[in-house]
Amino acid sequence: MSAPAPVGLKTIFKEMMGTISGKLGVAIIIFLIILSMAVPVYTSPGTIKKWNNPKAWVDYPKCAAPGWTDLFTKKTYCRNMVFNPQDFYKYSESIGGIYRVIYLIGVIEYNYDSFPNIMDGFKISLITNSSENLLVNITLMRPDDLSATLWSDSIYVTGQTLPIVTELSAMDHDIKKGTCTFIRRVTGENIDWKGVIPHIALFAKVDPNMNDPCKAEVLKGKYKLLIWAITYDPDADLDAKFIVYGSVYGLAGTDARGRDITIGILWGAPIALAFGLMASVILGFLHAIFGVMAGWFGGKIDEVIQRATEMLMIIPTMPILILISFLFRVNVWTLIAILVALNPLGGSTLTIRSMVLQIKEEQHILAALAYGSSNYRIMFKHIFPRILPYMVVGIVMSVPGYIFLEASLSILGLGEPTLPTWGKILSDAFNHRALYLGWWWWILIPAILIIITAFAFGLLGYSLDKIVNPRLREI
Amino acid sequence: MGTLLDVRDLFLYYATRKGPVKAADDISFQIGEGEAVALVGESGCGKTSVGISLLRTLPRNVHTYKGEVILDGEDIMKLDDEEFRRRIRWKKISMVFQGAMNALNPVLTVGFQVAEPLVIHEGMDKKKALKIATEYLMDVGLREMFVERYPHELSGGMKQRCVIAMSLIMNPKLVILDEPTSALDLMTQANIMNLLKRLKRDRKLSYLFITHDLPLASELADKVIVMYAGKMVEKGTAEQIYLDPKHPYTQKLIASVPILRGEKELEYIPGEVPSLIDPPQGCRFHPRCPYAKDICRKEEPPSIEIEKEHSVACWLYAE
Repeated sequence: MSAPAPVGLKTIFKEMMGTISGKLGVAIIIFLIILSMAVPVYTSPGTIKKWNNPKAWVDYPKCAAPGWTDLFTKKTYCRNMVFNPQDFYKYSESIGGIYRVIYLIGVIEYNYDSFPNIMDGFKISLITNSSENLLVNITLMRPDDLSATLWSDSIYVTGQTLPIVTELSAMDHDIKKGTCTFIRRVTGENIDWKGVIPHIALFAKVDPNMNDPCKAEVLKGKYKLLIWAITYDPDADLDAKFIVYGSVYGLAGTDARGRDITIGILWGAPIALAFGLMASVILGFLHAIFGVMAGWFGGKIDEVIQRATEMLMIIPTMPILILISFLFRVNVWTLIAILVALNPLGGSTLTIRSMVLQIKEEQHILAALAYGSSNYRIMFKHIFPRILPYMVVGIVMSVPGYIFLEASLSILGLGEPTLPTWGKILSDAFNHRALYLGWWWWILIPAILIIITAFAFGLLGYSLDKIVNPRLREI
Repeated sequence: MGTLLDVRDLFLYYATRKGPVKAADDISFQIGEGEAVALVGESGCGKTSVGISLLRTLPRNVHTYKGEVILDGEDIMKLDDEEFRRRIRWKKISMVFQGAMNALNPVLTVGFQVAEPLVIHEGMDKKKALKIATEYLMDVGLREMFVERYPHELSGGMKQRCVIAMSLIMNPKLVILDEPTSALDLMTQANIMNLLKRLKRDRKLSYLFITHDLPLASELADKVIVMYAGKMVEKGTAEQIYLDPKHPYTQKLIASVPILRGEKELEYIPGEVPSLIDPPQGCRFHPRCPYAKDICRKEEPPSIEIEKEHSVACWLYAE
């Protein structure tokens, strides 16, 4: 037994909410909408403009796993720690008005079970406005009362604009050499400085293997970074910034450029929804309108639309899209325009045409014609509502296809150039061999979101189809 | 009673691959103001074709469409399609379509559909049109609550009332009733017929009542036209046709009407309705006519006026 198809979008929605798949689909879509709205809450809207600017991400660790990785292991991973100039204790004195000594002390509570980020380790920036050369010494004092001199050198100021920023990263040769000296001193091993990994050795318990990331054990406790400088400029000032890059970061980790994937994911949600929905709604309506026109007018118009549909269906969209994206950098909105230009007619045009052929023979259409309705009115007021349920199902069902299309173009490296879309994040992961290197979060998180989005629309379409398609209806 | 509609020599042929279908062939009749004319005949004899040719809601495959249709002194056949749509449809001639079940769009509310002609022709805003539609729906005996209902929520009789309300909404002079009660049970049919009678009396409407049901036509009709195979075979006042049918076909048709609890054996006409593509030569009824003569097989009978307003196309009455 089949029941009559329900009338009106409200009834359809109500019935849809009665099915499990409908509820699940709606729930996922609501979740995605919340994700979309979370961008301004999570970060300032301006951040997104800096997405492709490497300078904006220097304070972030590279390839850090999501923060919640802790929950699945017994270890606590090193969080990202940023010590800004104001976080340092500063002491400076001018000696005899001839030269000046400046001390900076930063205290680091290191209570994690893992070493800092294996890629970057840490970074020290020295900012000075001194007009004379500085002699600087950087020493790390460890909880076991050992201390390592990391750097002892001069900052030459001649011919440079103030303030002068000197950046020292963990893998700099000077730091490596300083750490090497420290290891030799405390272990007595004669190792080559080139093989030293400062951020492992400096944070490890004293052991012959303290330079080996796999064997070294973390030394927990209070570290102090002591920086002192001497200069002949009595007014000189020195500030420092110290970053210990975490091995985990945020909700979704970071990528190889240190970009916070959470921001990319959040920003990608509205883009994916908007792109998928816009493409499918525009194309769905366009196909339907042409289908109605073909069916209603018949004759030459019908013939032209049908043949044009067949021709356009033969033209392969994907290769042409690849070609266009290869020649011009297209963003997602241009992509929609290209899709519309390539596919103004589609399979559903023919289906809707055949539905209209049937509907237009019904007596109420003759009645409408008889009481003076114009062609336009009959097509849009009388015929359109009849094909609307079918069209809505088609639109909902085709959303995942367009989301996948955008992702596939991105993976081929031809996607959106500026905004972080999910496909673009995946593409970056692919280009950085993330899967090979075990950076699972970079791939899994956007991939899962793409899949659940497709899944949500699929479920919605499935439940809608059950409601509006009389053959699938059961009592 | 002045003449409202004067149809002269109306032809409507449909084009098919086998040749033209002569659905309405040389039809002429008049309808006076406030008069109901019944167009009676078997299925497929061209009754509905006459109806749609008056309203010009023709299918695509029209072969010939000519003649004069003079409405209120104006030949509406000369109007172009756009003017016809604007000035004639529903304003002067409206129609109640065959089978109310199908004459309403299932996805639009009844009120919207009844009001739609007002929106189209008068450019009225929807609210006002709906208010007027409500009045008309109440006039045909529906309650106000049905305005917002969808057709599937209504019974057959209610739908028929809606369709009638829809046909009246522009105050037309002529309403073409195309089998308005054919899908309804007898009680509902009687109700609808009474409603039509009341409306005719109250609003001075003229009807062209297209039906295959002779007894039903007798309820409403002042004049009766009998059609056979696209031709008019007999026309006259209701009394003349029912009491004194002249054409053998009319006689047979009346004889085939059942009577309640009667002993009468129902008559039928042997043979079948001829193909309208290739109708028999001469009188189209001759292969089935018990009185067929030689001349019937060769020449078409002229329309012979037997008495005032009563004419018949049959060689039997040719002097």
